[in-house]
Amino acid sequence: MLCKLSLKNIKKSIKDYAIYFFTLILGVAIFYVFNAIDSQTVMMDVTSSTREIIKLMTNMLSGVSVFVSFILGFLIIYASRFLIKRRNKEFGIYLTLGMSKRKIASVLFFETLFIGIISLFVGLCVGIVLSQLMSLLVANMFEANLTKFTFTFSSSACIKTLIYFGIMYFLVMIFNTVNVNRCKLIDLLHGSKKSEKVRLKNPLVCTIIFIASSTVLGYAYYLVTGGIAELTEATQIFKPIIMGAISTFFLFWSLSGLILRIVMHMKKVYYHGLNTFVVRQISSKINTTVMSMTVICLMLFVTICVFLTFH
Amino acid sequence: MENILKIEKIEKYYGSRSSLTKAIDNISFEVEKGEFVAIMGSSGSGKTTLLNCISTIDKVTSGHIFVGENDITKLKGNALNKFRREELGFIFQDFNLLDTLTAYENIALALTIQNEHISSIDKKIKKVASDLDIESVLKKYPYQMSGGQKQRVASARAIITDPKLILADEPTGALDSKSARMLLERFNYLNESLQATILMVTHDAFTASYATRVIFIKDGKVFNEIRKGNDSRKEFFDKIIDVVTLLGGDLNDAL
Ligand SMILES: Nc1ncnc2c1ncn2[C@@H]1O[C@H](COP(=O)(O)OP(=O)(O)OP(=O)(O)O)[C@@H](O)[C@H]1O
Ligand SMILES: [Mg+2]
Repeated sequence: MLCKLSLKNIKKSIKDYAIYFFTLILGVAIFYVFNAIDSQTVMMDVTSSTREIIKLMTNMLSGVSVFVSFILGFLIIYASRFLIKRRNKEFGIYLTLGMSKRKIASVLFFETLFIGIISLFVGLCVGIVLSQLMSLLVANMFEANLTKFTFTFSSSACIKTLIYFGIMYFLVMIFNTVNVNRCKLIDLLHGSKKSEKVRLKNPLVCTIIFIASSTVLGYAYYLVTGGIAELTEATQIFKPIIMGAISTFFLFWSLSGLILRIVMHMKKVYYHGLNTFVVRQISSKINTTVMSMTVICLMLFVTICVFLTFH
Repeated sequence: MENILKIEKIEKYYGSRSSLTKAIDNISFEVEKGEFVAIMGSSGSGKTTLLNCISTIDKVTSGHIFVGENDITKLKGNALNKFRREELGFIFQDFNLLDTLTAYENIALALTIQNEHISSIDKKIKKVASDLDIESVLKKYPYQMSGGQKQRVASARAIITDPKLILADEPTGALDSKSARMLLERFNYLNESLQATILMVTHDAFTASYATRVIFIKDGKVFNEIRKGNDSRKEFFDKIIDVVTLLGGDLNDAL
């Protein structure tokens, strides 16, 4: 029964949070690809100086992949906190019917487990396919002659992915359990009714930040692509990475504010005045989507940075 | 007669010292096993708060509530879960059904949490569904049901475990008079045949007239109390109306 409950809940949340799952899968895939480069390149026929560069690149990529997993970790914690909040009433009902908090925590545990297994499995499959393309790309980059195309599977990258994400999901499970144990029943049942105000961001501030961050982001992309010649050392890549990361975040932050305004404006035309519940639903949906988009863009940006540095 | 519920000088305050609301201001009463008690009062008089405290959903500021021998204001952990699971049936003002589950699964949830066997779950649900006339909605999800149907499904979930004490917050609030009568008759049956003790909050004098005793609450205090005794329901209804008139205020508007 517990398992069935969890499965039902996931089925529902997959529909709601397709973008969140997509981000997780992409994250797992990128993590694998970055760490698999190593074994993709060993059998390439290159000069020793190129070999050095490749080695530097693989080291850097595995460092970056840790960064990627941190960003993903934040996303997962954020999303699960949000998912739990949305389900306060459900947990309240379980409690009034006499389910113990331990059982509720285990329903959540199964859910995280299922989500973890699905995203890890799909992500790894995607990652293995992508890394084949990657080896072609890398070979092309260093003008190595690929004598023959071989399908490679890096078991060390696979194991590293499993361990990293395993730890991450495990932390989320602990986080969920603590969260469940802390709640009070009355707040769970009536929490949704409490006037939790949706703070609308100031549209002027949003617009200014939107323009500023897109300028900075554009410059960061220019640096890593066109202006890369000015870079003399590999470590200098961190400047545009940090610039890009921060501006990506602010870009989406301001974008979410603007989108919420626009959506509400459009809906208002239909419904003539919205209740707070609908507004909260819209805004939370926009917020998770934006958060996921931010993470996806960050991961892509970092990937582009690293590859173009060595080009 | 044995007391099943004993409320001793309970108080419930909301807010901080500067803006204190005494939602319950020193209420004491006792309920005997097998009684059917209605609690009436105007909006904001503290009825829901009182029910929340008895159902362990909320905590009292001071005072004690005994159910049987247990002081439920002191229950914790597994004892508290067991109490909720086995001795209480709660019908919420806003149903609180799970949107992801069908009516059948919602009702079954109460029994699965008690680790009932699947075959006996099915039998019990069939029985309660025919009693409350919800057989046709068992496969539906809450968003596919009318308010009255949800109300009855929620009631079915509360009574299916044969709880010692049934607490109901405005159980007839969303029902037309026919469905209300059906639910109240089911309450009467539970009360008379199964000796279930029922505590029901209501605005409606007709609903209250099904009870054996009505307690009136005003501003967090017990204002009055009348018993049905040997009256017919019509006579009892008239008496209730008299007190309601005496209470005045917005309770009249609710009728
Ligand atoms: N969480 C809360 N915080 C502060 N005050 C509250 C809270 N809940 C209830 N109150 C106050 O306590 C009083 C009693 O509320 P309660 O909900 O018990 O009324 P009620 O009798 O059930 O009303 P109704 O018939 O409208 O359901 C009200 O004055 C209300 O404003
Ligand atoms: Mg109420």
